[in-house]
Amino acid sequence: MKITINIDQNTAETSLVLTCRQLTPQVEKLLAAFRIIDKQIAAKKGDSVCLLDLNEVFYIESLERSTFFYTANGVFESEMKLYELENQLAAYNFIRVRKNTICSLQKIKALKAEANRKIKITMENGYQIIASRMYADELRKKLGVK
Amino acid sequence: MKKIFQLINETVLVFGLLMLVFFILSLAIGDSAKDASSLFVYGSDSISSAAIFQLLMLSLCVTILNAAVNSNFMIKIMPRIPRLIILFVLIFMILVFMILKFQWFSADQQLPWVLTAIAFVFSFTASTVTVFLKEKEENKKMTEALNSFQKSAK
Repeated sequence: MKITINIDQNTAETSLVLTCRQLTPQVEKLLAAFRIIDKQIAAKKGDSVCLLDLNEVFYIESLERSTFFYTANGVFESEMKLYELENQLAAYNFIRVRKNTICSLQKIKALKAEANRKIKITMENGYQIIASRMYADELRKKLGVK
Repeated sequence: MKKIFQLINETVLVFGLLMLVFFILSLAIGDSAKDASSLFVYGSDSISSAAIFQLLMLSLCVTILNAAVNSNFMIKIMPRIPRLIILFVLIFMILVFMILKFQWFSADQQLPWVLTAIAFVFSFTASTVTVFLKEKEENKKMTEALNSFQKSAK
């Protein structure tokens, strides 16, 4: 892959032009990495692809090899794997709370300690996630209560 | 596999605690209870292998019931207090079943039943209250930490 960087002091906005024969999964991943810097992520809803603002996402769930973003405007599907998202979104306060779920700390409404060191997480949209023991401990660490 | 190891781990923990209690009990009342209870057939000298196995079974049942009542599904559909009541009733039923099945003491003796019920209610209540107080404190800390985290991230 050829990379060309043009540094121009007169440029008003940083822009990225990507030239390729077709949109392969590799190119999509590259684009996704750049979009995340702008707190955006590409996701599908039906046949249309749209850019989601990360601030809108409540949680991300992986179900049967597909990844879904849950927002106030509905559910969006992504090609990306949950572990890739976990790494890329850690800087934006997303944390793994279950084997198949990452949630936004910004969108948590309430936390409640449960039996067997689990944590019941209530999201702003009312959805409840039970963080298993291992991930609950990670959440405690992230919040500085452990 | 991980869940099975977790179950074994918790069973061993409960079993260890039960054995400790029975060790103390057998030293204290073993000789006087050896004619009345199958658990203390060797008096204060030792605990029989049958009794050890029965206590292991009880530990396993308690651990399985605890895991089932506090499963993610149950946490989602039922508040904490009703789950605790269900756990209390189920463990008590298992305890009564084992007392009768393994003849830990005779069914027509009133005193052992009363003492067992008192010990069970006391230990269950004490552990529940302790856990509740600990969780109340943790909930307060987590809520404060979450609020300050959300404010600082904005």
